[in-house]
Amino acid sequence: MMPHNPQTDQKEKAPSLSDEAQKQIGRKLRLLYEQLEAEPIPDKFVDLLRALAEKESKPR
Amino acid sequence: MTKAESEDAGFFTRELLTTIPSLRAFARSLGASPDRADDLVQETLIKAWANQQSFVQGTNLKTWLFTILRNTAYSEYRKRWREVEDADGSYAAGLVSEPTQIAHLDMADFKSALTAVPQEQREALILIGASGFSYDEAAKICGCAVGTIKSRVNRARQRLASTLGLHEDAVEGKIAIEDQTAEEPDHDPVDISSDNSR
Repeated sequence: MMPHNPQTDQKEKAPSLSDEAQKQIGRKLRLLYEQLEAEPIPDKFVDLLRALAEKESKPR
Repeated sequence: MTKAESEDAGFFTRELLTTIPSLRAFARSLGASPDRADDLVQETLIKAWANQQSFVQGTNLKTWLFTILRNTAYSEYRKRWREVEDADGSYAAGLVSEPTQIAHLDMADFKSALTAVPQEQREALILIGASGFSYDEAAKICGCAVGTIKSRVNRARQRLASTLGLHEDAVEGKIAIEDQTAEEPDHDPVDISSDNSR
């Protein structure tokens, strides 16, 4: 038996969701998110931040 | 600009940069197309930069950025966001990453099941289950009570389990009825779930 994770510990009515089902959902969700996160940062964002920083550093 | 300020700006820039992948993943998993997600992230970065004075040092920058992105998505993009989501079934398509990265055969089923989860429940589930926020932080991002987040996450899981056939027993009818009353009385300032309330 896994120790209770306070983040998933529901005080509300007991769901009929098994630990295994919860784990499966959690795994898939994280996998999906990680796939999206793993995509490289487009250059345009780096350029944007650089442009913002340069604008900021110029005397007003 | 003093040296200290300049170092602060460098720190801020680096922090923004490292949060971009997560911001994009959040926007995409909420249902934005890749282009829309990038528009949202870009606007978030510009707003964050313009308002960096209002960021409270020592608080969680990621939480702050997610709040900005969410507010942006739900205000300016609200209408189009929904259109994008519904238009051509592009939600699941928008989630398609590199096909070779999909390790599980049933990932397609999972994505499809996720589309069946009402937006605000999906958002809560993603913040808690994938973005790594605490219930407290997720409540701040969504501008609602912690209990509301818990309830939404719970219902999102139930909905997914039901769509994916993960329920072990046959009490789904009972769950569906309980779910009707599970919604907390406090209302979100932004109600985007009205079309799901039938």
